Amino acid sequence: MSPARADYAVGKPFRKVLVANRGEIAVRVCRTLREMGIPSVTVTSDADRGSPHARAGDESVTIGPAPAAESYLNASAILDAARRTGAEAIHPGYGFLSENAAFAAECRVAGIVFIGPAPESMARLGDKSAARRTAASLGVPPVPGAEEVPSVERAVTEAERVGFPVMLKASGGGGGRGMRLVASASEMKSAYETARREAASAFGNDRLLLEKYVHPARHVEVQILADGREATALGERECSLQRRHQKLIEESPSAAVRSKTRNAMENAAVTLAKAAEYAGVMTAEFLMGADGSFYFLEVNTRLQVEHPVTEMRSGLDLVRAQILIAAGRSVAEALAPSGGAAPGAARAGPLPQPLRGHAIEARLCAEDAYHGFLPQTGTILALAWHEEDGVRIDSGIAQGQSLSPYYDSLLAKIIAHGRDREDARTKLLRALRGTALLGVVTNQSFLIDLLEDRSFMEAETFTHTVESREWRAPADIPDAALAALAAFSSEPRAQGGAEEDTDRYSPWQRLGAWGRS
Amino acid sequence: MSRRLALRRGGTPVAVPYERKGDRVVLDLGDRRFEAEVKREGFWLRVRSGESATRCAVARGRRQMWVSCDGRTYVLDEDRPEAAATGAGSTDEIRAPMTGRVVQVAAEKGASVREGDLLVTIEAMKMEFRLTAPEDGVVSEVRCAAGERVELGDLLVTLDPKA
Repeated sequence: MSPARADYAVGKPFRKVLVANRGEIAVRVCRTLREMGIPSVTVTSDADRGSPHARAGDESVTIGPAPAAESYLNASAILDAARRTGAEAIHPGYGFLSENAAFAAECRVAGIVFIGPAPESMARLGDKSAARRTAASLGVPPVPGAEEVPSVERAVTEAERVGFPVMLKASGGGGGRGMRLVASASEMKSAYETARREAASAFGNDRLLLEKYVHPARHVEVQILADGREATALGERECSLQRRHQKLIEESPSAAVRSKTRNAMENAAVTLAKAAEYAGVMTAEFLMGADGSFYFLEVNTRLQVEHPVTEMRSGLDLVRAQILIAAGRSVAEALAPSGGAAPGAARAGPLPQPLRGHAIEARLCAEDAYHGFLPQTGTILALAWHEEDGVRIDSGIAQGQSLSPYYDSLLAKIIAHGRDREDARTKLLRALRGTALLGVVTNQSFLIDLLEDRSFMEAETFTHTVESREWRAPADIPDAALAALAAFSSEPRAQGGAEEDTDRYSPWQRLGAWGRS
Repeated sequence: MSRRLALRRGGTPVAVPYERKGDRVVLDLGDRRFEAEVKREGFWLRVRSGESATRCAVARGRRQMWVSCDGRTYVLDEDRPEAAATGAGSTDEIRAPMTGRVVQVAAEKGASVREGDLLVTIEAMKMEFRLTAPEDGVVSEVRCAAGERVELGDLLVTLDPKA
């Protein structure tokens, strides 16, 4: 009997949960744990000791040096931290160990609940090659390609069979890492080697697969909640606006998905989840052609970065649902409003309330969108968010924080919910315009460009839309900005050369115990 | 005009004489003037000029001024003599475009390279970036090695352009 069961009767699924992640997602998971009355433990690398996520839980453990391989990917250090703090379960967030079946198995051996699917389900669906085989066997056609390309020569042969251009992808990972578009045989060697290196570094697994490059295509995915027997679809998200195969803007519903296509995609996703006896949240990703036909792409066996889009439309808390399902509850119980499951609700039924309105998410990243999306580091000198009903900010940053080059560039997600697409779009634009982040170059201005672009306004968004165009930084500084600079420079406290120590809005004032490095 | 903004943006001087009396700021923009009322509202500076009102935020970094208005952020270098001297490298200096780790050094001292040839691969935030030769030339110096950590702006490779 797992310790989880002991508390079942009094309604608390776990006595304590460790959050094995960093940044905005660690902060977000801690929020739900607090709401559920479950004490939380966060883990940090040496580089993250002063970051907001280190303070988001009830206690925090330092698990290793800055490189992820020695900290956030260090399974034994994380399990040790869980044992030492008495955590009964581990929430892996996304990325890092979240789709690592070996880690999920280690948790099981250690008697700690992994908040996610069983390692067997993960192996069947999380590995992209295995998922393609599973999907094909269930009548869900994958993108034409090859599950295994163990050599450059084999990759060229398979690419010639399905026709260039093709995509090389890491079998064991997601998030755009280890992915390369290959236009011709002469590019294969270099692309193959880079993809393998990235895959090995990001996922500890350098196996690659190959797929035909579908063009033009939209990226549409279906959110699933399942309990090992039943599975419920929570609508789709369109995430076509990407750079380097990483999503920038996500929305639900997709303006391009008709209800017949939606039903077919949802059925395919439910079929996959049930076949794998999947328990937890799951996302099935599809590529949709201009004619509405779609191919299966992959399954993400974890919480997605863009899950708030679905939460805003459904009113559900998907992290809470994950935790309840990991504690053995059913989909129906996980979907019930907080405060208690409907007694006897054993089967998955319809959603407690239908999906409402339109939600759009923008990912604020530390990167120079106007110069090759190069990652940026620095210290956040000043930070302010926009507050409004229907606007949600999931942030992992704070004023005074130093951004290190070790981790993903995602800083925060800004999500707007409106009665329709235009309402959500204008709300999100207002939120972006009302945000100020100084000290580190971000893609904030570029996100505004995208939301104001005709392609987005007309919902003509495809996976190549961002990278097929040249985006330019605003040329001139507005007069108002110069006036603000002039006023700031002539403020009495800004004189005398000690601004950083005396300015009211100086980062150091809010640094607290982090120290000035 | 008694005061002056002395900044640079992307190498271009932003030199603006201005006057300030209380909340009023007048900018001398050469061919015209810009008059505004600038009031601090907590975090923000509210800039009103005629009918328009803009919320801006300003912060001073070590060598730079940052200003954000309506969701667009502008970075300006403080115009100090030494800043100009260490400005952007010439085209034959390959510098690190970000802080990160060197994954691979393809450039070899004395080797001839063609425009677009791979010189160095850097990894940051789990992505690899390929730095390539900006023009045909000969590698005259290699100042980095695989596995090393490099800081933004570090000189990695120098290239003698082909005459």
